[in-house]
Amino acid sequence: MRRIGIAFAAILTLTMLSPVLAALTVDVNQANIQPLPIAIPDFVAATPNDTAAAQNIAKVVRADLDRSGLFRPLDPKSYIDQITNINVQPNFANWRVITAQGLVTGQAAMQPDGRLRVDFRLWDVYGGSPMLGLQYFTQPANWRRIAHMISDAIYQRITGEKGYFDTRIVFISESGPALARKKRLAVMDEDGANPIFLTNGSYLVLTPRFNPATYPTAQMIAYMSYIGGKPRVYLFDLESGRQEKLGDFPNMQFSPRFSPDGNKVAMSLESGGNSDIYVMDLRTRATTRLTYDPAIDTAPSFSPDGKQITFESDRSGSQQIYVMNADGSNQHRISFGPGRNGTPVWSPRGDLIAFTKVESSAIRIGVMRPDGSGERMLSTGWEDEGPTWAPNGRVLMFTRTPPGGRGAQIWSIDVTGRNERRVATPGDASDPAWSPLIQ
Amino acid sequence: MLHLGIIASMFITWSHRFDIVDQSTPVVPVDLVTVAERTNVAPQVAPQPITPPAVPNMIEPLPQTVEEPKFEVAPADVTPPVKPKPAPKKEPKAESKSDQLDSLLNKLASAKPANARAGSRTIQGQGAQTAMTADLVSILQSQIYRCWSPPMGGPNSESLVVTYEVWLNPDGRVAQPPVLLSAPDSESAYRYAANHAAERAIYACQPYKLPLNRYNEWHSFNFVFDPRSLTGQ
Repeated sequence: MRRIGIAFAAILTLTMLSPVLAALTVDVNQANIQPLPIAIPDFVAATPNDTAAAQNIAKVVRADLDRSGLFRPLDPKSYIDQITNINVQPNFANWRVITAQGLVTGQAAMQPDGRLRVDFRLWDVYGGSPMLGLQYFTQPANWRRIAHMISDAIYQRITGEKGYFDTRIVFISESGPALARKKRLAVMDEDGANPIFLTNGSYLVLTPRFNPATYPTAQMIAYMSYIGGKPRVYLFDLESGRQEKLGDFPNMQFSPRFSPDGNKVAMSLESGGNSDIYVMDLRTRATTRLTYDPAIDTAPSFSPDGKQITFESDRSGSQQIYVMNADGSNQHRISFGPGRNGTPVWSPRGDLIAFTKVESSAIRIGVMRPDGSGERMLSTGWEDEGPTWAPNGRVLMFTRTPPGGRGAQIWSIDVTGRNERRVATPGDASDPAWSPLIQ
Repeated sequence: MLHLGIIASMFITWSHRFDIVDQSTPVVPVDLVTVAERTNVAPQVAPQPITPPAVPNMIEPLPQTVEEPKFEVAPADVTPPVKPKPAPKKEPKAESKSDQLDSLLNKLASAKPANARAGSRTIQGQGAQTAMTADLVSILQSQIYRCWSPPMGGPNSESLVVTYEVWLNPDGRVAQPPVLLSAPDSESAYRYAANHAAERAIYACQPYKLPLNRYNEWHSFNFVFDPRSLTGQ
């Protein structure tokens, strides 16, 4: 007994001493920010019938992670090893030699009940250890969503942030000649797959916004439309296809945006050349006026806790960004930089407000903290406007118009200013709005 | 008895930490198949140096800082003229037995001067990074930063300082898994990501090139990965 006690004490002492022995301390203050090299071989097909699903899922996961800019999926041609059984620990030496730091293995198997079962594992190649393992069951037609969910899980394990691949983008699709431009409401997956037109283009649609609340459905959109020539705000339920006019006001109604819990919509109502911000409770349909300034107050956007609203106003003589409490009190200006600043959008993470800055040389997307500090510009285009946040508050999409003013495009950029790239859309597209994670 | 019980229960709880690997027990034969395939494809090892596949890399690396050349100079000044290890090695990967023998012999040869300077070593122990160790710190800094790509852009990513204790073999390779001295993975998903990015950097940068005759000074040390001063936030 006593011997064990002494041995235990000795081990304790050694453990406590070890940091002291390592006298040399190396502070690492510089980094080399690089995407993580990751190998994602085609998933194993349980039967030959599962081959297509197994290959497609791996392909979509590779494309998702590559698009994020934080991963560098290695070319499958460079692999010198094959995964034939996902329950076997991979031979890590064969993946280290192709410089992979992460390895994803998976399997697709059709079940007797007609569902598809997908398993995957994420491995730390250097440490030789598993980082993550999950299993999904779904209808075979949903294989794409499963792939996005796998991408989200990998993204979160490696970066610490929730992913955003299992999301959709609603946007305005533009087509036709310049004088008879058709603008249709459209929705697609985050990677550009499955584009669907929601309106037929016979009337103008603008500023679609997703409901950030995922309950009862993550499929609700608010937008402004000129149905019958009158600018009004409508709600659109993507699942049922039902549209509904939001209230009945005599004058122009525009710039809607949901509260974080999805129970309210903030918007602008115009009256006699002056527009102010109102909030409508969707359950009672009661409307509350928040601003009374004779200037133009518009583009409201809630903070993620629902307690504050950021908006733009020209009450100071030029378009600038303001923040107020959700009841309209404590209105104060936060943007003081050069140029005009508008279309503020509060990050779902709460730490930043994205906005559009208009200067003589360019129109660009930037971010600042909710107190107005830390302003920095992100996008590098000539005319970039209308930012929308990914649900993880990490990536932004916006509209880019090339010099010449034609052919609007949707672009995305990381909040660090890296990975600026065009988003695939069917034809010209503008005014994107990001959905929450579908789940 | 109580102590025995406590120790036994520690082992039981630890064994649950590796649930995923549990399923891998019945698969020893398949491992053999994998080995066979690797040998078949052995000729492909030749193209491996060209491995960077042509996937477009949209992240722009940070501009190389000016300090890099400084770091390069420091080792040159300090490295003893003998420096036998890099010379015979043309490729860092080549680890033939003769090389290992060489390094062992070198280690033996360098052991004597280290003993002779035993007095000065105790003085170093009073405080790390004195003039004696500052050059080693520079050498290690100049090598590790290239491999460290911490998660950036998180809500508080700049506050996630990670400390690992590292043990190296005389050939500069990691001798045993580094030990995390800062906050554990369980603190948050962000902490998990930061810890693992640091651990990957430690492995990815091996073998470390350090003066062999001073192995006693660098066989064990702490890496403190501190993202607070990184740009690009």
